[in-house]
Formats: sequence, C-alpha cells, structure tokens
Amino acid sequence: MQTLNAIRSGWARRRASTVATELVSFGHWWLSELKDCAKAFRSKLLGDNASYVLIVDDDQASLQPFPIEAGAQPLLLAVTALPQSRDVIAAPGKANPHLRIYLRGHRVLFCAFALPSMDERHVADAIGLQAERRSPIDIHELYLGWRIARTYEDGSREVELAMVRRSDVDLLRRIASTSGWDLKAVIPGEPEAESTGAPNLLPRSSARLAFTMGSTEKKLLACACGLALVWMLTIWGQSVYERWTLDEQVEHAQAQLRQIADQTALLKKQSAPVVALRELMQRPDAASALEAFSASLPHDAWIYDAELQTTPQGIQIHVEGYAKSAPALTSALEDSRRFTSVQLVQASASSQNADEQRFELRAQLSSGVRR
Amino acid sequence: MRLAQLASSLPPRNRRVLALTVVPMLALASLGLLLEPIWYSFAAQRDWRAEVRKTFASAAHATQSQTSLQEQLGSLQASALWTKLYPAASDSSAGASLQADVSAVLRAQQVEPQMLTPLATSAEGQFKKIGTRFTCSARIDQVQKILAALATHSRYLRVERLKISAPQSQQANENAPLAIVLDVSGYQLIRGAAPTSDSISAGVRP
Repeated sequence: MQTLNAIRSGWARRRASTVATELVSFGHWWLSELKDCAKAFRSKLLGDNASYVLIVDDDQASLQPFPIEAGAQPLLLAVTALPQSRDVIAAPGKANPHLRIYLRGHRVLFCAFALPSMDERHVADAIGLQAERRSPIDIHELYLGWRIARTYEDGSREVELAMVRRSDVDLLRRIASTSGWDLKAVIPGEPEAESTGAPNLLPRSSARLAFTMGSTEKKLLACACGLALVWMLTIWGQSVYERWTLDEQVEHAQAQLRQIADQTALLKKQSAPVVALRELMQRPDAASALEAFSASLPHDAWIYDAELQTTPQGIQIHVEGYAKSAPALTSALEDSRRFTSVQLVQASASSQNADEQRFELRAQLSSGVRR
Repeated sequence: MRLAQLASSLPPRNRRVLALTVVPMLALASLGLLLEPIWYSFAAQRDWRAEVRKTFASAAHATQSQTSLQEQLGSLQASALWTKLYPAASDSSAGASLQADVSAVLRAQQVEPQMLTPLATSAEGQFKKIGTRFTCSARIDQVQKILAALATHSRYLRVERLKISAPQSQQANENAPLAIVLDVSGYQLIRGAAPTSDSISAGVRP
C-alpha cells in the first residue's frame, strides 16, 4: 500500500512538474511573440531605427553607421561639437537613431588581474575591492565595467577591468539624450571588443532587467498564495459564523415582520368599505345641491319648479322661476364658481309682473367635497 | 515544451492571432472563472448583511406596530360608520327598512307619502344601493326639515333626485303646498366585504 502511495505521489509530482514546465515554456513563447509583434508594429508605424557608432578618443570623435563597413569614411567631430552630431546625419525613420559609444584613449583605465577560486556570488564584491585598491581616483567617481577573460581549472579567474569617470559617461549620456539619440551602450574599448563580452558602462537603471523564477521567488509566490488562501478562508469562516449565530434571531424577526404585513393587509382590506363610505358621504347629493343653489339665488328671484338629480359627473339642476333679470341671475350663478355649465334655456317677460322675467335654466354642481 | 513548440510552428499570421487575441482571452476567461465564485460569495454575503440589518431595524418596533395595528383593527370594528349601512340580510328587507325610515322622517313632519316606488337595486363599488321614490305634498319649511332629518339620520340616506313643483300663482305671503318627488337611496354592504370578529382576531397575533 505504501509503495502504491509512493508511486502515486511520484506520478503526481512528475505530472505537476510537466504541466508547470509546459506553462512556463508557453508563457515564454507568448512573451517573446508579443515582443516580436510590438517590434513589428513599431517598425511599421515609425520605420526602422538607424544605428550609429561613436568612437570617442581623447579630444576627437568619429561617427559612422553601424554595422561598420570596411573602407567607409567616418565623420570626424571634435568632442566639443558632439551636441550638433545629430544634425549631420540623415534620419531615415521617425524614431531616434540608436547610438553606441566606444571610449578609447586616456578616458579609460584598463587593468587585468587574477581572482582566486571563489563562489560566483562573491565575484562582484571581490572585483570592487580590487578596483578600489588599484584606482588612483575615488571609486565612487567611477563607473566600473569588467569581464571574466578566462576561468582556470582550479577555479581562479582572469578579470579585465575598465574604469571610466562617471562625469565623462554622464556628460555623454546628457549630450546623446538632448541631441535626439537613443543611447544603447557606452563601451570601453574598440568596437571589435564588444563581441568578446566588453561591459556596458551605462548605469544599471537604464539596462534591461531580467526576471528569473528562482527558489526565493517561488517561496514568495507560495507565501502570497498561502496568505490569499488564509484571507479567503477567514472571510468564508466569518460569513458562516455570522449566519450560524444570527439565523435564529433573523427568523424570529422575519416572522414578526410577516405578522405585521398580514395585519396591515387585513386592516387595509377591512377598512376599504369605511374609506369608500366616507368618500361617498362627502360627495354632494340633491339635497345639498338645492341648499347651495338656494344660497346662490339673488333675493329678488324665486323658483316654482326645480329638479335636481345626481349623475356621475355631478348634480344636474333644472329650474324654472322668476327674477328681475335672467341674464344677471345666470352671471351670479357663474360667478359663485360652485356651478358649471350654467345655461339660460329660456327667458321671457312675466305675464303677472312687468318688472320680472320668467326664466328656465340648467346648471351643474361639480362633484366636489360636500359643503 | 510541446505546446510552445506547436505554437512556434504555426504560420506567422496565426501565431500573432494566437498571441494577441486567443491567449489574452483565455487568460481573462480563466481569471473570470476563478474570480466569479469568489465575487458571488462576497456579493451574497454583503446582500445578506444588508437584508439582516434592514430586518432588525424594522423588527425593533415590531411590538409597538403590532399593538397599534391591533388597536386600529379594534376601532375599525367598533366604528360608527358601519351602522350607517343597512344590514346585509336581503334586498327586500333592506328596501323595507329604507321605506320605513324615510316614511318615519316624513311623518315626523306631518307629511304623508302619497306613493312609494321601489327603485332598481344596483352595485356601487363595495356597496349595494337600494332606492325608493317617495311622492308627497309638503310646504317649504317641511321640506327643509325633512332634508335636514335625512342628512342626520342614523343610516346614510342619500337624496339622489329631488323634484319640487310649486303652483305658479300664489299670494306673496302664502306658504303653498309643493309637489315633492324624492328619490332616496340607502346602502348595504355586499356580502363578504364586512369585517368579522373572527377575521380581526385572526389578524392579531400578539
């Protein structure tokens, strides 16, 4: 059984390792493909960058296209004329041309020495110490570039060290930057030396950083995943705990609210007839219309026939009677604003009294709130 | 390595499509598949908390609300407005009660109804309208008192139609008898709409 488990565990590890390798290699392919796409896009959009080489001697510099062609005549410039160097070349693309600077002459101090066998991690510190010992200038004022020229069988190394004043390199960087060059490298020595691994003196901040997934990174990633897992478990546990502890109280409260909702619905249902009856009682009827009409009549008018009838639109009134002036009566009723559609149907002289008019009119009492 | 080799062996155009669209979309979809359940559980818990907060806030006054509702239901049952309606026994008995009530009002003013005509019963919302036409002769002061008595009657009596005719020739100081036609309606609650003590007590759960 233990053997079977061991086989299973080994198989799972191998499979996980294979999947991880597949994913990493596919990721590398994808990143490099993206980089190629970006390059192609940039090239299509801006055109290809031209590359130039500037070889700086003590007080003279020579500028020529890169790669250097045999027999080509370089453009000679005084070092002081470097800021104008960008103007003297043709720019085939919209992007800034690349520039590689090679430093020769007295600007560079070369030295070579041997290092005893030591761990790879300590090589840089050991070279720094050697440089400090051998340099006539304060080491902090120098840029150091070195390469391992040879490694012997016993582990000792032969180192070639180049030292250049920081002020010189920084001046060249400034000039290149302000003159429209895209500075790619500042290399001590001849152009041919670059193929043998000559160092680039540009500060590391401008160099491209490489990321490799070492054991430390893997541990950090595992810690981050572990923390995320712990955080998620904490959140999940909190939600479970909340629901578990509050479940009973929530159910009780919801039951109370349901009861209140039921009571409210019942009250609403049962009060509906009372509300409807109250509204009905507030609507005017024929008796209240007669009272309102009588109150609106002038003192010199009297009626001998009245019919008042409720309709959905209001109270329809039809009256016949006598008044001093039938049109004045009509105007008085209209002005009272309680009656609408006041219509004088007929007005004629009274046969009994010459000062009076017999009238017949229709009106409507609006179905508002009862007075 | 097989996957990367396979991708590298594709034609350049397909490689770019794969790198620029398929791979990012697959990566986003995978991320979505991973994040969606987490986000769903977060949102569910957040909604649950909001709901619980709302429930507790409402339930804090539940007892007072229940008491208040119980009181309102009690006062609704005891409301005097229910007595304004005729009992929902039968149309004929309600019609007879209406005729008796209005006749009593008329007789209280020494006015004898000459003719009583029952009007068609109709439904009006939650009520059944029962009407009767009264024809009588009365003087104007009697009419005024009759209308006032109808307005203050213990039942709700609504004057739907009123026709008053006076003789055209009369003396200035004469109180001539008038011909009155009076359509009066009473209301009866449609069966099932009335509150019962059972339903009220069923609604109150202290």
